[in-house]
Amino acid sequence: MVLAVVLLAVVIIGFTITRSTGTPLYASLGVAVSEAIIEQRAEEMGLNEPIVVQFWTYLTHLLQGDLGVSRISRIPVAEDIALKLPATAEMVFFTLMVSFIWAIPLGVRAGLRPDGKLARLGEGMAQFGVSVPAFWLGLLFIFLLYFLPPRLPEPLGPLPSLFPPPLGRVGSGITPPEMVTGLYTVDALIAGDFRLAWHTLWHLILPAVTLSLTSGPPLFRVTRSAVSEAVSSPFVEAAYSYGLGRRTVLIRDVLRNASPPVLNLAAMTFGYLIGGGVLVEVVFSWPGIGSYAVWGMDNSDYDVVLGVVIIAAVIYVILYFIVDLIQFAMDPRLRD
Amino acid sequence: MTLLSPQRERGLMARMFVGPTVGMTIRRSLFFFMLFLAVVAPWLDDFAHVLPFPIYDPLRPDPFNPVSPPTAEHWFGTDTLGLDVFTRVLMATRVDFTLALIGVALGGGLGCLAGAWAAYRRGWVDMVALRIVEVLQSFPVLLLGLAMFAAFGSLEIFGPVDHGMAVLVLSISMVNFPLYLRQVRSVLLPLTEAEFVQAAKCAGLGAWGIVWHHFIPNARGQILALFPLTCAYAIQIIAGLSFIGLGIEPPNPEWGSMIKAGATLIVQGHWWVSVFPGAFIVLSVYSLTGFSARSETLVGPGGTSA
Repeated sequence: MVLAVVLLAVVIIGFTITRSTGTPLYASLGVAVSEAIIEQRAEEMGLNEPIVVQFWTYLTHLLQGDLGVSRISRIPVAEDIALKLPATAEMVFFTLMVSFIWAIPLGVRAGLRPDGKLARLGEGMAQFGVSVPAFWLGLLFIFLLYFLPPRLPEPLGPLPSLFPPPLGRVGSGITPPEMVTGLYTVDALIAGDFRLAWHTLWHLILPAVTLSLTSGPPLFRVTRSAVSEAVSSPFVEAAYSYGLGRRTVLIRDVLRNASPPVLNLAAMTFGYLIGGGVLVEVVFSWPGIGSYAVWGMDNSDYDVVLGVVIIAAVIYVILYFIVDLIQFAMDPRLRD
Repeated sequence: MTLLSPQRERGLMARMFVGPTVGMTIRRSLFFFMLFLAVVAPWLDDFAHVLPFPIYDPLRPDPFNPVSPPTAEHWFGTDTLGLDVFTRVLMATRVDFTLALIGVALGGGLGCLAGAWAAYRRGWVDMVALRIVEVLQSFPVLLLGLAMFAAFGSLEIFGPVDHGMAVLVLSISMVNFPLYLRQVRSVLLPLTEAEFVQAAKCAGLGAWGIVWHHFIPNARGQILALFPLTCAYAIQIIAGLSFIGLGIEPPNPEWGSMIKAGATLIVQGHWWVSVFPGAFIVLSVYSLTGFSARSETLVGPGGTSA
């Protein structure tokens, strides 16, 4: 119920925000067309109806999965988003993987030994990640890892750079794998093409590391505080007094009790990054929904922007809801 | 439990400057230095002859010296138009700081009032306030900004105020409103039953009187702790939106749009146009977060990721 209200409000706000503009038709038709043509197109697209009627039409279409048609490319927005969402999801998924590799172990370590070297390293990385704008970090990576490494002069052929050029999901001239899930790495594995899977993974690394460094700090900090809280709690002392070993206690009591807030945050991060990685997508020419929204913005194609905004917000809200449900199911204390 | 209305504290300025650790103090000094630069930026040109660094007109191109690497004449090099990156980075400090400050003050101020009001009234007012917070926070920040620009794209409603800047400020306040509302509300919720509030009620003080004189002062600590962090966040959002071409129009100096201008150059090896403005973003955000010992509570799940 609450979920439905929030979703409806999200759509209303998104709609009023993007529809309150003047005459977007000039954007798609150019300025040099007669009033009559504009009028005809406006009629066609239902722009002359009262705003409430327009909203009702949009909402009923939305519930049928119809997000309108792009004014520029004339392709339904929902189709485009369905095509681009897997790219974004793949990038966000690998971002989380990278975060799990650095943020969680460092967080656990920092929770166990707050004054240790690794704790300070983690805090340093967190400080850096919070301060640095992701799009700038991405550019810096491109410069340092793609441009700077020396390449042989032309007659000998350019030495392949260690990292791929920042141009989307696969290198130019390489056919993406047959679409099954839309995740290139998975699709390539399904097709049994390991070289291609490796290739797509390689293209993912820079965007994923960039996003992970800037979105991982909260994960590090939450892990740290959850672990340090668990370590100093009575049940851990009790476990030690039973005579259980360090490793057993760490896994059985500390990590298990510290994991809910961390998993919760990881899920929220996933939902957030679906729409929050816009700039990194732009920097790495990643053909996801973020770049799509920016493209729509550049062309004053507001149905595209609205569609992406709504989809991203809806994914976030639904994930939030699911996380709540899972916590409810996992933690008996919440049930009364 | 007896809760007292707070007394006016002394030595606020000194405590603002000197942090709990040496590192914090250095970061804060760095911030005040940048703030000083932002304030004096427009007059730097008049004192060019006494300054230890070369300063130029941030808007006058030098067609004979485009894309020059950092030299003694151009400390941070020049961009494709031959504009001096160093001067522009300094001038941009002023733009970014001002916009962040106005946006946070506007959204945060309203958020504080709404949060205090929700905590005082409770019941359905509180319910509505929380739903508003939830809805606003379910939009990814940059997409919200994008939608704002889509909305105000062709509306010229801000009169003499620069259109892009006005929408930027509005976006920043839309982001900050729920942050402050939530924080202030959660701090003040237990105060509704406090004795000094009851006493004030008995003394005949109206609802707004209580909110203004007793509630808001009690949340001052939280508000002050949130303020530098949200400003830092705002700087990143402004730069991020300008990076995709929204907000500050290119010839005007702004960190995000300068990075955008250098983005195509960086793959050719001309790093200085993008790197220096970005470094200033990092410095300002880093120095601003030095005002708060606890930075993890602020920024939503995805971090800033701007």
